[in-house]
Amino acid sequence: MRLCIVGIGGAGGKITQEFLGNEDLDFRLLSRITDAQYISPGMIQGIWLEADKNDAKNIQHFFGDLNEGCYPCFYIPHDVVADGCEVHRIVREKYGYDVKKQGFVRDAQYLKAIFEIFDTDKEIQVIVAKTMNKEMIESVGGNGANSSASFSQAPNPIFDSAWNVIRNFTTLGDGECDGILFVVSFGGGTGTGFINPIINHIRNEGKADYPVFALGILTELGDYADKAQFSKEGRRNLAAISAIYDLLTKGSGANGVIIIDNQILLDRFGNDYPSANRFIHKMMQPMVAARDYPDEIPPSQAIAQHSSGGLSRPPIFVPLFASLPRSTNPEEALIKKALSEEGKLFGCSPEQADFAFVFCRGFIDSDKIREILTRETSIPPERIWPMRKMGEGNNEILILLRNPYGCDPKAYQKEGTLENRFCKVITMALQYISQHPEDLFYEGKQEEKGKKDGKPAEQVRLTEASKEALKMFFFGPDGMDKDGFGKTSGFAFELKEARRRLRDGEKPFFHNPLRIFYKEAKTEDDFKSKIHEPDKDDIARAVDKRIRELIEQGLIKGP
Amino acid sequence: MPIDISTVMNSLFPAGTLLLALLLIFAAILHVNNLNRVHKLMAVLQHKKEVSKAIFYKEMTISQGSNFTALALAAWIMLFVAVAYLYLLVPTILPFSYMDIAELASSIMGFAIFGILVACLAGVIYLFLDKLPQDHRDLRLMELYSFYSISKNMKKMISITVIALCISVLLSAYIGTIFPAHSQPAELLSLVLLVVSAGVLVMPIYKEAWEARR
Repeated sequence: MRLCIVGIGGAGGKITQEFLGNEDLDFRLLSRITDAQYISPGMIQGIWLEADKNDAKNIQHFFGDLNEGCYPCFYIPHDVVADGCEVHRIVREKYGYDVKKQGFVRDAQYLKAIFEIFDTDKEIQVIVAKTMNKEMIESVGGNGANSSASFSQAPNPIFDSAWNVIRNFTTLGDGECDGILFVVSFGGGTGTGFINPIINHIRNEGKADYPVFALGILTELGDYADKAQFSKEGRRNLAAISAIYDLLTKGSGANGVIIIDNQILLDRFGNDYPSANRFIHKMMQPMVAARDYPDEIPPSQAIAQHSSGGLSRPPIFVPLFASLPRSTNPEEALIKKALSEEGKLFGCSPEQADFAFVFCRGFIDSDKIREILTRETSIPPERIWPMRKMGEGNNEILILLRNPYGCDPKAYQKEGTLENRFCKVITMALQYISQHPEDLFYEGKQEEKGKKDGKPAEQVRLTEASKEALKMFFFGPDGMDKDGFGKTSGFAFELKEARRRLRDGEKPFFHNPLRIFYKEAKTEDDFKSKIHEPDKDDIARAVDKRIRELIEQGLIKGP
Repeated sequence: MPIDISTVMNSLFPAGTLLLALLLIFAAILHVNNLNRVHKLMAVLQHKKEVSKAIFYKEMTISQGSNFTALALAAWIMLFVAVAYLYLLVPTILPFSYMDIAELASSIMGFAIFGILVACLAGVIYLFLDKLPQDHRDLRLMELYSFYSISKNMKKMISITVIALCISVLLSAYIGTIFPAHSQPAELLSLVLLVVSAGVLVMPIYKEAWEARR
């Protein structure tokens, strides 16, 4: 699988930079003579999507501007909407959202809301169609040609242009990448809102088996990252859990969310972010590097099907990594090291995993890998898929355990389990919601926001309709009162339910996809009625559920 | 017993020559051995009787970049030219030399013609090797580095050998200019640059062989 790495936001860009280093020597004059191509290890390609123009243009110097023909390049999707243009104005007047400010408002709902506004508001769709034609969106986004299938969905300039630039790197466009890996920080503000809309595009083109993974770095505990991420712990945890919630509840969404705990990385590297980023690149090498064993190149569709096959929602993948000097019979030592606390990059219970990808680099026997991993974790051998590459230097192993949690009601009390970590994040997010409800509507002091370029932030002033929609999103029809919030529905309710499921050992722990804006929905009753109207995701889930039942009954064969 | 400095100096050049020859011969043997070993390992690890060499080489090769490939090719051609200049321009070790063709050697473009001829000959050898069938890609000099993982620093070192080899050629040309007089320091320095450059050029092969020992 040849991946297109899409870094989103500040942290995503820094990690993507590690993946996209040039293997060739950088001599400009010689490059002209030899017509040298930019070559990254594993022939991967990629792009950085960013909101902060100042950061992209003046502070970092690795990525060049896509619009100037540079590679590796950054792209600022909201640039497609000109400052003060009709679309910019109408969205602000009608909803209070400034489409050019995403990324500076440090929460995941901001971009989600903007996507849903374009997705649902007929008036805005008409203005987009009238003032921003298809060619314009494409030309700003690069030279890609979008398919008619993509445009069968509502025109959405920011996300359409972002997809256009990514598409050019993939086999869905003119490129050669047969999979996409989004790299994003869970806890920032820019990132994850892009992922689901882009996956929508891919799936709408009829590519249900095009592999799309998200590699997310869960924000660390404590206040160390407050300055680096321009956001306090509670807010970061709310942003993180919102982002993860959106990714994990989208039916026919990502094929997997690979999650890394930044707390583990920073404990290991003494709060040194660049070292942590380098390590993330290193530990992903068994997956992204070249040199597959002869005749063992797995078709990317097969990887996609095995990743999320039999599941109605995208799974969580927890990475375990080990690297040891070359030796004879290295399998046992590698697996044991990967399964140890040293190897885990997120708390988990390996024995609860229902599938495992094992990416190896070096000279490794796949039968032994299956045998040892089954012995150590009790994952059945047929649910273990080793993929091998000829290595360099050390032998390396990257195990991606699918959904390694659940079935143990006491797990949430134990440190080092996925349940425990997610319970902490959810609790902190709920605390933040309870203590700073005004921040959910951008009515707080806004002290953490918009300081990136040194200028004071212009406060977001939502309209009443947007506030009402957000209130419904967070708290459901019951709203928030002094007795509490999120009693029957809404995001806060879903978080409490997820925490309960984690404590009860249930999986998955996130169930219902939520929206802020609904098509044509204006009243509370409309909202309620829309919730029960099946959409594409509901239908996909129902079909998946039925297929699972048939597999369990033995009427059809599983993947 | 007192050590005769001139005897030591006189023996340094043949010793260096021997070292250079051994360095290159062992590199060739190790390169073939490295690839054969991995090829056999693939068959064992994949539980197959045999793995097709053409497919094996296809999977094993990685692109190192056009700039590096161009500089590495230039370095290998320069290595040939530097060897020819040191050993064939004047009679250092061998009994015959380019100086035997006195008229051509002493013409204005004499040395340049010699260098160009050797470079062309090296180019022809590379092109010939490059046309070997897929099963013998291990013998293609142009693809030598695509079988190895080479760090960026190593690539820079390999590209710098072009400069070192140019200096070696210049020193050898100087020796040719003063011929029949001798300049032992110039000869030794030229040889040292040659040996070091050859060592750097074949270092990825030795590194891989060393790591494979484990």
